[in-house]
Amino acid sequence: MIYLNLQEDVKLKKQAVLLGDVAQLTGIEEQKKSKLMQLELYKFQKEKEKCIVLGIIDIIEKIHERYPNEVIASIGERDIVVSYEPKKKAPESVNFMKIFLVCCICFFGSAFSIMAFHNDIGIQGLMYQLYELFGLQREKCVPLLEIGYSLGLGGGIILFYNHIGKRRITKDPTPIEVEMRLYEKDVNETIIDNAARMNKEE
Amino acid sequence: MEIVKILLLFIVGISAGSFVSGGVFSTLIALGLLPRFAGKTHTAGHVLRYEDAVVYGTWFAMILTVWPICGSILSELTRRLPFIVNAFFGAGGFFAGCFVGCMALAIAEMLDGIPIFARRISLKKGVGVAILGVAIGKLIGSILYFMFGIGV
Repeated sequence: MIYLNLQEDVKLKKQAVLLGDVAQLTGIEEQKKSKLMQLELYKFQKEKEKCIVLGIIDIIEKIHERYPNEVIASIGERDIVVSYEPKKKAPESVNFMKIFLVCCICFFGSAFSIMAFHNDIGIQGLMYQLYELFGLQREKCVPLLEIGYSLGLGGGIILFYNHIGKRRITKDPTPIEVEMRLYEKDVNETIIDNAARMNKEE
Repeated sequence: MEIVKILLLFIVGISAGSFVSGGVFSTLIALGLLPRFAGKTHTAGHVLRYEDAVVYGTWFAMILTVWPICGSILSELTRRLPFIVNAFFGAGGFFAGCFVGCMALAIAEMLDGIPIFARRISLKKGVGVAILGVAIGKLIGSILYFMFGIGV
């Protein structure tokens, strides 16, 4: 019995996709295992970025070609995405520019959205009304409402994003990191579904 | 008595601020803009910096809009260093435009506007053209708004 645990998402720098790259194996003796790990599942033809979908059935068939009598139990994913990235890594300066531009978009963009929000609710007028509600004159007293609001917004957003610079408040991942993983999962799922649909249409 | 009132306002302010930050930024997270930026530029390792940028941008704009005095400081600054302030505004406007454009389409996408229409009229190809149409429409719309004051 071979237990086969497929990884959902594999990125490779080389053209040959080996079983050992995409799966963990157990349940067989070491020698056979290391041989199986070298089993070639697929070979990317060109030196170009590409991704393919491998189904568990294809993989089992490939294993059975060599060891026809093995019983295989899959305990991992059913379909996996293998992407080939023969990257000459982008130079550090290009990378830096990208990060810088995205940082600028995030900075000015969120600045703009919070201003749009304040404008929308008419925050100046609202604050006047609040002072009036308490029977105070805004010009004459300490602007504690503004101070409080600023502290609340500043502190709240740090709590929400769970970090200041590199220092984390709790050891949870930040919301963007969570969202990033979700996005990756969605992308993989779409690639797998698309491949399934293409096969049906053929 | 005066003191008590002001302290109460202080508490109102803190609560309002915390809730606003939660509300506005969970919307931003739900739209999934930052993961998209990081994915497109292959800089997933730096999402923490992007979050920092969001935090600092919010602080900056909050100070500008909540404290009227900052407006007068800014206009003084513009009088002294017109070039730098203008360049800052130009670049800032461009980046903010990028962000808002992405946000508008992300909202449309979250509500499945385009896929639903595409299914209704059984559109198979040409989604790219449709998106381009949306982009050009938005461009023309904002030109009409800012230059001719339509829809103000």
